[in-house]
Amino acid sequence: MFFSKMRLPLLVTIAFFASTSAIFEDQVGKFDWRKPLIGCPANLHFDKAGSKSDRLIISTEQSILASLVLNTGNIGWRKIMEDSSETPNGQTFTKDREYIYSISSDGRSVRVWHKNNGVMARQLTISEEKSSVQAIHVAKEKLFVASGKTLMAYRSGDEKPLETVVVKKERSFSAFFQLDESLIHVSAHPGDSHLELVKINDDGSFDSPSELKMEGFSMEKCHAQSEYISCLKGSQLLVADVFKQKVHKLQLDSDQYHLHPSTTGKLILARGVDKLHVIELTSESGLQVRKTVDVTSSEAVGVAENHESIVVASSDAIRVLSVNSNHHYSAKRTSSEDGKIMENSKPKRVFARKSEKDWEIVLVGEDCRIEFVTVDETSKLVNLEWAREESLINTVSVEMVDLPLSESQQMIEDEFEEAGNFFTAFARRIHSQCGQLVRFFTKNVEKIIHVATSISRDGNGVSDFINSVRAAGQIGSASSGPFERDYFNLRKVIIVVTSSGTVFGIDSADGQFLWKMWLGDSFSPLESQLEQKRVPLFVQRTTAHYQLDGLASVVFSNKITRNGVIVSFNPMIGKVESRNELGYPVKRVTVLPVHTNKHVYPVMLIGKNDEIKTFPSITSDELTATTSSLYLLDLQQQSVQGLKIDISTQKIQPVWQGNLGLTADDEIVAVKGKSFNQKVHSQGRVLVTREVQYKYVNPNLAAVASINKANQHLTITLVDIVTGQVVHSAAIGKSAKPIHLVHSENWIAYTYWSEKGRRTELGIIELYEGSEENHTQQDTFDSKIVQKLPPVVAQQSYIYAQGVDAMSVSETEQGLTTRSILLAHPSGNIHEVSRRLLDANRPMELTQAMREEMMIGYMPEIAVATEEMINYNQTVHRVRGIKTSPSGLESTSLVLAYGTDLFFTRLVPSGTFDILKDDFDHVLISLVLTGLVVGSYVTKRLARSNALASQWS
Amino acid sequence: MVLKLCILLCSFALLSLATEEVSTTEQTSRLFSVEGELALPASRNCAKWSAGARVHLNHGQHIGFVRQDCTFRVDFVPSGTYIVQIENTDFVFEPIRVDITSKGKMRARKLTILQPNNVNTLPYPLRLSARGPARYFRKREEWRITDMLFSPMVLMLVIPLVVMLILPKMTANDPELKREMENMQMPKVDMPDVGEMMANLFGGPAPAKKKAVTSGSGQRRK
Repeated sequence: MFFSKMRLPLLVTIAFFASTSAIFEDQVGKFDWRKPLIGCPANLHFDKAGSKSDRLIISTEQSILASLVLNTGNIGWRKIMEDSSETPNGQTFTKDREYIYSISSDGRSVRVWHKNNGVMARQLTISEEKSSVQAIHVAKEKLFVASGKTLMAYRSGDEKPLETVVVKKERSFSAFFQLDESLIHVSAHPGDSHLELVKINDDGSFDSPSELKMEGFSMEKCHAQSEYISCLKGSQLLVADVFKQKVHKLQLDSDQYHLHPSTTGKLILARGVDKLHVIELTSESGLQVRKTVDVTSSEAVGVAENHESIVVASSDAIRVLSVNSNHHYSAKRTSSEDGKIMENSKPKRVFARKSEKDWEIVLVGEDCRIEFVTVDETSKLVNLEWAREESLINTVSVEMVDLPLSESQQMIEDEFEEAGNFFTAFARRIHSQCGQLVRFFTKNVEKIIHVATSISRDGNGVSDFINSVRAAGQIGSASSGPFERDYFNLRKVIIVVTSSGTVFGIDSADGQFLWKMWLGDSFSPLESQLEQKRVPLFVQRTTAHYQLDGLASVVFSNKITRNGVIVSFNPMIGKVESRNELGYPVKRVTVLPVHTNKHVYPVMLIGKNDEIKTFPSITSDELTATTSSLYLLDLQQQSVQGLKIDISTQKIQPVWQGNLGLTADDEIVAVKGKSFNQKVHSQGRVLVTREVQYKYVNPNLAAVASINKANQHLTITLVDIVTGQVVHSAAIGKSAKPIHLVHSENWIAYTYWSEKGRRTELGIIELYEGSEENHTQQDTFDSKIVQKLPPVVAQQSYIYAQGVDAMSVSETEQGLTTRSILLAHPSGNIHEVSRRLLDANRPMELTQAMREEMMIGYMPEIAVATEEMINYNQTVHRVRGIKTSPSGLESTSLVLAYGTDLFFTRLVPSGTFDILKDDFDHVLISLVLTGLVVGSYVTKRLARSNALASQWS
Repeated sequence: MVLKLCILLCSFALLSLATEEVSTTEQTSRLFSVEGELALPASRNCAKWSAGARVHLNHGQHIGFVRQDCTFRVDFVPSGTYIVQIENTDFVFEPIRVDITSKGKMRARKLTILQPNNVNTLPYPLRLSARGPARYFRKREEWRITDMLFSPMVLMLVIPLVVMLILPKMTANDPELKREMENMQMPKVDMPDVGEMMANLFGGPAPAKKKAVTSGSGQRRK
């Protein structure tokens, strides 16, 4: 009782702070957008949904099963399965009229989904052994499943199996075959030169296995389809007819062929370097090449659903060839994007079907772009219905770049750029203001013309008129507006780099694609020291210098040569400026803190054998004395090394080496430094006693988190990279992964799983130089000054009732606004925790003075309320990172979270203190003002006539 | 568990009848299933809602989906302690802690995150009920006529209007009231005459009241 009494005021204060972060319901979608993604398709089926519109059922490499509406490309439903690492073949699934049956949890269970809405109907257990050799088939009201050693039959609607057979040996291949009424399961064991055939009876029972000799069977070179298993052995094609139990052979002209992987039906496709053989097995003449088609390496091939036509697609044309006749035609694809740079890769897979009117073709590119096109046979036109950019699910690097200055802003810049005497300055002012006037008029004329044209186009009803006027009012804010900075710099270009080799420019206002870049077929991401895929992105020159275009660069490696490649481009339009391939594989990439005379911050690429190159190269006279060298932290197997790089001579030399107190059992899980352009607004913190505690702001500080496998200790070590001095080290017992770390200003926040408490805990370490006396009166921090006293450390831990997938911190223009920590939950929410709550100095007991300072007393738990979710019900799963970027408003930070979805929003950690509320009633205040003015005039009149009347009376 | 045993027994019976090749594996299973049921408010139908729901064990270490009848089963869970949470966007569910012994015995208890050793047993199979709808938004202040009337701006407009226009009209009908009002307002009407005020201040003997005011302000200035 006492406890609850004590907690009540605290709860009230917390509720007060919490309530400021939530948004209003009518603000939904006003500042935020979400792009739900499904991932790179591995398996795709057209599905006729009876009377309703058609669907595409897709299983993807990211183990997601989804249904897309065929007409629009929108997601009907999406099922995010267990996180198994990359599944290139997707999930094995089959469908019948009502359900979709998919094998999940690494081949251990079958989930049965309703086709219409994605609700799970049943869940069947196969076995406890994981296996990637899977097959599933529905026939005759029964479900047959094979996974690993197990073969099972279920009656539809039952959860108990009719029959189960477990073999002793592991399988390397498994498939079901159906011809009319007979059903056969075929499997192979590794190393065996025969196939094992199990006939399935009508009651679902399995016959004893029989053997079919098949030499040179290996899963990589074989392919199963309708009733055949085809294999390539050198230049010989072997096709086993499963039902007749007979192997046919065909000699091809070279051994350069491979079997086309995604074919179904009776046609066998063997693809060579420049041609494609369409082979058919007939009972009379055995294997026979029906047709030979010339194909280039940039074309993708698919068989139409009716198995009578072959569709060959390239980036600029689609060819449809009939197998049975000589009928064929080609249709040109035209890019519909006007003026935008949209580089798509070549298509990888083709799925096609013929409807009454035209051909419906789904193309999947190397860049995971899903395109749905229709080809009209008579007019030979390719119509792009919709496209989805699914590579965004592999987003690895994000930057937000300001839009270029608007014309008027440029004029202002011009005005103050050059010095001059009084008269020239005056002339410039007049000139720029005339320019503004002209701009104003042209803008309005444009608007009027736009309205006029849209009226004449749309019709002449009153509602049409209102609609078109309203639409005209929205120009400028939305996509069609001028490509320039808005007043508060809230609209930016988001550059997104994916590990699939694509780079996108996205308009932050509405999430539209501005441009797209394909980094080439030889793209491969870099491997980071902590074993993650990485494609570093650097903004080398922002758009602040309006005479010069912006410049950004991505670094990746060549798939074949493994050498590093750097591509520089204009971040506004996606135009490639330069592409350089290095002569060595890249180990480290960093951007230099100095810029060249052209305001470009060069990127330094360090090779495996300490080769150094900078792009663009920097001359020694562009370097200043303070920036002549760069310090880096290098993680090695057992130790940590501090490196000094002399930029002008391009030499690397180790400065210090040590193990930071880590033993062989310690595994480094995270290293976080600080970005060199982070702004810290205030140097200190005012205490209740009116003293100032100065922050220990060391730009060279890196936080290293490591976990000990033997005793489960989490160690956070703060090390000065320049000197190797360990500034602070903290150990937390009984903790485990996942560990996330955020390093900002003078504090480090981290999350870990506490084995002892069986909960996530959130820790914070703050560093201070101490109060006034110890503060060295210096403007900049210098690591090389022999450290006087160790910093004062405040630390605290909080209980956090949710898991954490990713962690980030808000970023504002001046760093004045209280920062917020963003935590992504596995359930898809993104939770905002104010630094006021996650504070290492929350007092245990609140005194009156502290209360006056609005301090919040310590409470062990940081509560998670649904109101604090910045993405309300727009969930983002499997979040890998959250990028924050300042806007022109100090109160506002722009946030992009990326995982299975992209979610963008504006964050106001301390409320919008610098602009009017968006529901501010402009109408009321102007009404009142005019009312007052009019009223005062009227009363003046009245008073005068009154006075006159009283004079007369 | 019973179901599982049944499956095993069934398969055994069949296996023993089947061919020699069939082996007898997995007699003792070390992986278990966590089962349970969800209860939604009566107004909501589970069949539709469950499309967007998932069950998380230990924040996504194991996941399961909710069936159309609001039951769920998370398979292949090794023994240990797990926190069971329901992921969805509509309702708030209380998390539950489940302990699985190495023999597969289940024990469910209320999750008290502050005191993890507190035991408050719950029945198994789990039954989780929605605590309430998830609120993501702040409520906009509703438009009310009183708010409108008492807002300072409207008051500023309305009160002078009332004083200037309606009061004289009202008093016009009632001569007595009018006289009273005039008497009341007499000193006030005098006030805004600036010229007189200036004259009083700078020249000639001022009334006692005014003098006091000026002397008072003078003192303050010192």
